[in-house]
Amino acid sequence: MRTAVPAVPQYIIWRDERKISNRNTPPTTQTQTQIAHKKYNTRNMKFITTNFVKCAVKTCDSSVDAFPLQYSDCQIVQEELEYNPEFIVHMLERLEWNAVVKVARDLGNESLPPVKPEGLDPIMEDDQVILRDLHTLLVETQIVEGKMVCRNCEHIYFIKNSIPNFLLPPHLC
Amino acid sequence: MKQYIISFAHSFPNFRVAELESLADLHGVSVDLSHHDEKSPFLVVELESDEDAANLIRRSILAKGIYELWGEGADFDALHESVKSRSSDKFETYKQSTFKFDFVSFMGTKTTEEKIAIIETFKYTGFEGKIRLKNPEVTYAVLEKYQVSGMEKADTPDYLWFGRQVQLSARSEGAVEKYDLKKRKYIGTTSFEAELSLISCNIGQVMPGKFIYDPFTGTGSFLVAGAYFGAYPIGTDIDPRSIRGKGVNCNLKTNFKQYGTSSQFIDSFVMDFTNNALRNNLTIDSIVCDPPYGVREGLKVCGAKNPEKAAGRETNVVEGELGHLRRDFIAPKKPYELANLLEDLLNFAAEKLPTGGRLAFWMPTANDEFVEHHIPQHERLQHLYALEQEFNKWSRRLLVYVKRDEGYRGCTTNGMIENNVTSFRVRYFKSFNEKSRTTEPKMENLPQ
Repeated sequence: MRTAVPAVPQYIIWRDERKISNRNTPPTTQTQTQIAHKKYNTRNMKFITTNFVKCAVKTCDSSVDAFPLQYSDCQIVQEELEYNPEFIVHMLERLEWNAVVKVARDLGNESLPPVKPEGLDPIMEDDQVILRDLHTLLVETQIVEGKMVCRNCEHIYFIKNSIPNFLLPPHLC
Repeated sequence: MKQYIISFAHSFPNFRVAELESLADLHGVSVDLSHHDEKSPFLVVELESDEDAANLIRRSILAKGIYELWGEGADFDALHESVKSRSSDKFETYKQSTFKFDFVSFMGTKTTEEKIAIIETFKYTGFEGKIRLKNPEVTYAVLEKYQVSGMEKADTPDYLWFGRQVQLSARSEGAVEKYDLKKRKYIGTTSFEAELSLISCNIGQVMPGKFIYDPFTGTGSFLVAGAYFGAYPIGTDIDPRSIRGKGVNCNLKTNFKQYGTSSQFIDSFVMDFTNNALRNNLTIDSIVCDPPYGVREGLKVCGAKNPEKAAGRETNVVEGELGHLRRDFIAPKKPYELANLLEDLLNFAAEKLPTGGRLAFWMPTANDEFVEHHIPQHERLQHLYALEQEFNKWSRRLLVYVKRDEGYRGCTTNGMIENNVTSFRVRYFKSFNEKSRTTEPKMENLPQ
């Protein structure tokens, strides 16, 4: 009998191979999402930012479909960044969790818990595993290229050469 | 209440009260600063405790330090008399502590020999602790003010104070030098100087663990300053070049890395502030910025310069795709007036700030036409300060507002629009003469 394979960390969309080997995690299957196994030094769109941006078109303001945007054709990288548990705890307070789940699904992760993890303490030993996973998801997981589509007006915004661009054409201003 | 003495740097004296009031408010410290004199580098204040004193000064950029006041006098005899009569009870408390003496002098200096001689005159305090020049438990300071008349160097101070150091400020810890633009990797023509960026963040009450947003990020001057105070910066700019930076090792992100605050930086992206993509219910705790008043380049927002010419372009098809939905689409820009942009900024702040949250931004004005009435107002925001930095023919003012609770109703006005204030940029290029005051702005005639 083989021992059970450790559970897949729920929060991780994708892990760099270095880390995958550490964790014995089977590679996640990807659909639309193409993954670049490359360490980027330029600034990319952090996963967390997808939780702060909506469609810029004014007539979409009142629509519930303007947030979050739908992410497709995304190329993802993981950049190793300094772990700051206080930052993660503070950010959790601000996150719309439903949107986190939705965007993670767009990017190929179906395993996020439906309810926001609450009451995490940045200095509690017991909370470090989940905080580190959230750090990997929110901060280290980044989009280099891709499309952000408004579910209401269907306007397409691009993440182009690592930079999300929300500038509108004149007829939508 | 106990007496403390604050020593100030000789820098932007008209910003001092606003900075200290803001820091006092931030930490719930009650202090009366109404007797502050811009000409004096020292200010005696009454405070509840050392803790309040430390909280008031720790983040300050304009103050250098704060001392528990032990005595004062017009000369050393008077000073010693005052220290003996007011503070003898304190000698015992610090009797065994390691210590050193500091001299905080304004408009005068002393030689090391003179200093040592003066320190000797404090023998009556009976301190028995070892003298430690590095990390002493207690630092005592002789604060002295000289009166200089003409070119003559004053050799005796005209007033003296003696105190125990409670807290040195961020300035004394080297914040201003650390953030000096000359040492910063990624800067540009519109980078904002370090000292005033840090002061803006203090008066804007940027807080640890809270969001600071700059809608006109540029090279991120306010964001790195905000991160210094522990906040989490988020930035946007209409110009992709500023967000991209000048290369892999020279961009906004590397600036945060340089200052060791990378793990606080949220993100930055390209956005036109007037077509905002930040989600509606996102709370932004502080907004600190220097809106583009268009001296370097005209103020622009997304849109067609000539709407008639642009009509119908939304149906343009390129290689089977709608042009504006393609990856290579570049959004056209049109000129915009500063007065309108400031109105947008106030509306945005009124919507996004939490109660008690602050908006701080810089507004340029030609000196001959500024009137208080030009300061834009919003009914949900209380205007707190208009602090002027004067240049030759123009000034810029740091305007600071606080969002009040539901019960607050101010008045919404925009004096710049009502009075048809000519574009600052037009006046800048017409050398601020009487004629330029009345001419209509013609953006296209200006240098690009």
